[in-house]
Amino acid sequence: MKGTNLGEFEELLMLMVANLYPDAYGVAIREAMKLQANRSVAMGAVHVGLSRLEEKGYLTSSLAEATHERGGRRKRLFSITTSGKNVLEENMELRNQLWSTVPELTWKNIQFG
Amino acid sequence: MDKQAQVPPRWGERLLQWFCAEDRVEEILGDLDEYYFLYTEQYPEWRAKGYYTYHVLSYLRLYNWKKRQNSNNWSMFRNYLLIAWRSIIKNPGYAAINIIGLAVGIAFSTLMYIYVSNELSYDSFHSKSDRLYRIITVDKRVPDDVRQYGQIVPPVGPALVEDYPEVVGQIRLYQPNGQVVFDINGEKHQEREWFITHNDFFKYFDFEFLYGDAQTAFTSPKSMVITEKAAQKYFGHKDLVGEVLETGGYGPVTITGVLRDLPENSHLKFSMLFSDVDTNESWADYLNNWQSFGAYTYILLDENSNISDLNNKMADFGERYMGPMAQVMSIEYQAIRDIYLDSEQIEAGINEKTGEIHYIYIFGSLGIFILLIASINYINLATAKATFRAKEIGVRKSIGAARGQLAIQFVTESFVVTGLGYLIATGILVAVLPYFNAMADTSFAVDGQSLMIYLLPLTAIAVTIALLSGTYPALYLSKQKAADTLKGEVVSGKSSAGLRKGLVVFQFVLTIVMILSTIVISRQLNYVNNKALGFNEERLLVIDINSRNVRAQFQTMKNELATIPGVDAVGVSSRVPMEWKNIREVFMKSDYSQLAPNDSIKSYLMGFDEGMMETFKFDMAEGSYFGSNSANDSTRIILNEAAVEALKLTDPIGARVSVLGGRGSYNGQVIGVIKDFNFQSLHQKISPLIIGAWNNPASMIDYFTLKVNGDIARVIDAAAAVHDRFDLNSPMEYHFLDQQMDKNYEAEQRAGLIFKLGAALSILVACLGLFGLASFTIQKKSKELGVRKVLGAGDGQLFVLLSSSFAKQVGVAFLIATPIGYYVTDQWLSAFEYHINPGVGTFVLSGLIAAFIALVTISYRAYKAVHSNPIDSLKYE
Repeated sequence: MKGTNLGEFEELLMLMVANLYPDAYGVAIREAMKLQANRSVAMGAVHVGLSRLEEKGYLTSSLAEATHERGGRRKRLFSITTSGKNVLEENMELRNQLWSTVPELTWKNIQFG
Repeated sequence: MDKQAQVPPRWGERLLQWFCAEDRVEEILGDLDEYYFLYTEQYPEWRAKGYYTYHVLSYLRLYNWKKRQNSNNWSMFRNYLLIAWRSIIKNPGYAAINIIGLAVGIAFSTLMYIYVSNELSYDSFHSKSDRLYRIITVDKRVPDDVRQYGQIVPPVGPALVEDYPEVVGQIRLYQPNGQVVFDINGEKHQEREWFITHNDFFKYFDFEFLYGDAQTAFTSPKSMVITEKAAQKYFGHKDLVGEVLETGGYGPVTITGVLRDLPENSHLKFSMLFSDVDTNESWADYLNNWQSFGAYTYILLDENSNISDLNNKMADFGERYMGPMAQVMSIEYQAIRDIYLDSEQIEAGINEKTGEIHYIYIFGSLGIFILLIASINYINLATAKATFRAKEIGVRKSIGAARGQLAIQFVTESFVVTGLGYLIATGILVAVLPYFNAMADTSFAVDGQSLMIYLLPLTAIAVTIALLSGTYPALYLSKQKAADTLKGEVVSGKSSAGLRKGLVVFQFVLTIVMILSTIVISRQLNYVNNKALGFNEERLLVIDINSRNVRAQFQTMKNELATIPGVDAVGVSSRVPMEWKNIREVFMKSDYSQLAPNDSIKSYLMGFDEGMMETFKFDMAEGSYFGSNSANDSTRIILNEAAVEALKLTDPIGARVSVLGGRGSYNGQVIGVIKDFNFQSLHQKISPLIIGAWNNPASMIDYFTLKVNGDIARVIDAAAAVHDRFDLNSPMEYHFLDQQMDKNYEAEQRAGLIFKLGAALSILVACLGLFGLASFTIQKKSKELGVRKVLGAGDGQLFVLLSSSFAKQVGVAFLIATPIGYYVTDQWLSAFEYHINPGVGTFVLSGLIAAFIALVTISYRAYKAVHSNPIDSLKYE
């Protein structure tokens, strides 16, 4: 395991889960991924990502009611845990801090092409 | 959408239930079901299935792998895989032969599968395709020449809807003129693929809108829909909704929709559709008139009715509207899915590109043959190799392997080898598809998601081939007695040697048939391209007459065209020989004829002016051609030899012949007989032809033909400048006659290319197999060779010894292949009225080529064996 590091895709997944609460489950997350992040990923990738995050303790899940179009199967709803929230915040803070310390000159001297 | 379609394929569920850990499976399958449900609402079923497959496969990763209890089976299986891998490593040459052969076989047959299934899928993408029918006209006016047309009398459609409740609706497509002309930023354009139609068009046919909306596209007057491709071509961008097109005939028309590119497998091809909402008066007249003709009409049948019931009810339909005319003109229905493949007899259809069912058979068999050849390679090499695996089999058996387990082991091996071939095949497919598209004039997508769709047939083919080639060797190898193999007695394999010979003969039969077909196809296509047609077809520039103004002043325009530097001659005519449009048909009869009185003969008619002779360089058989005094010529006619013969004229010059039908019947006087020339494609026999003067009463002039003898581009520019002064509305439309002629044989050219590719690949794969087999037999015979050499046999003798058995096999194969090849090529050639006759030489040649290929293939190994030092093969005992 990579310890507490979040991959870019994992972070995206967690933010999706946070946004979709309380209806964050596989299909909804993938659709949101496609619409908002314009990323078309396979269902398998979404599920594996979610399960890994659950194993790391950043997400928790429970089974919800079944619906007709799911062939009478229940869906698994994900939500963020406290440590999940913490790691997201850490990530954000780190980024904010790095952004704030970038010298002005960096942006002025960007070479195009 | 019916309930059935929403249930995803069962195999996905089963696969994942087997594969994934129990505690995950429920939510996974639930999500997949939900997705499938979403997709079926947005896409046709096959696409939904493709996406579903893609998602199912995305779950097959180790992370989801179920922990299994029974680990012994698994470790045994791992051992099989290991052994399979080792045997590949140990004999890389054999493995390469098998893997390459299988890869080529799988890739090519998948290509054929994609091609054939596309050909068979025409028009099935419309969700209502099982209820859509096209109406065709059956014309029985000439009893022994019943003809069918793809167009009908326009009011038939609405009358059917009115009279029969099972006909839910009808769609008419029609073209009042051949082309629509329009103006974009001051530049003139014209489009020939256009129709006027009704709003229901988009309800019945599922063409996708890129911009605009199917419901409302044609609800307001003066609206039109354009395809993505045409939008790009004329406007340079696609989002055209709301823009106005300035048309020549119909004034400003608003674009209300842009269609996604029409699916490849649609028989309907068009660039622009105009709404009939504003009911232009002349259109309304045309549509309601039972005397007019020419609308393409489709009907939609009610869900609970079938077409034969409708037919049974319709006995009095024709009588009711057409009166006695109904005796000779009737209508029939053709299911929309049949149109593409079953319209050969139907004239004036909407579909210029039709498929041919026999090519589907040919390509289907080609795909199967190449798979068979690759499988045979595997079987032959695997059974031949048995000798070297005998000890392994013995040991396994004596420590308790059951026959079934051994069989599974060998099948596993074939799956491993095929699996490697399959991986390579996937790569080949991706690499080759764009070239194949160019060659076969198809547009199979090469992006990731479409590949997922091809993956299913690809996998199915690979599994079939693995089973096909693995089963026999597995049964054969596992049959060996443990004691014998351990004692060191080599598995003799008499029966397997016989089988190998049989299979090699079979491979050669296929090879020879393919070589023969390739030779015949090339020679025929060559013949078609080079046959003397009876006129000089080179450097002829044909310009369409698209305006009344040009027709009225054609003489002046012709004179101006003739003065362009580089133009040798100019002819004016109603039709051009070897041209691609319908030629006017008339009947002729004559009192001078030896036929029974009043007996009439069907003939084609074209109107030529005096310049045509110099332009085309026809040959006269007797009499004279038209002179320059056209007033006298209008009722003079020239017959071709076929017409003279059909009319039984003993002394044609001066005979009077009545020309019946056409725009106006007239009495003509024969002034000359022209030598027969091919005025239609070589699929057709030279029929009787009347050549009337340009101003004859039965036809109308439609073309200028220029004999060009200089810089063609400059001549075209100059001609266009002349044209634009006479025709103010449309841009000059021109073709080169030789290019148009090539179009007659496009289907054959394309099929020929695909066939050659298939033949070359099959031969390659067969050679690989033969090479492997030869290396193996020679290896087994190395001791024998050593002994013989020691006893004084010469190199030549040994070489003959080694190659004679293969030579015999080629001989037998040749005998079997000849009648098959004769039948196959004869069938293909019979589509051409004018064709080559492959003589004995061709057959012998293909046999010799096969023998030569076989000899070259084995000679490398044989040469090495013959020249090896006998000590090397004899010193080990």
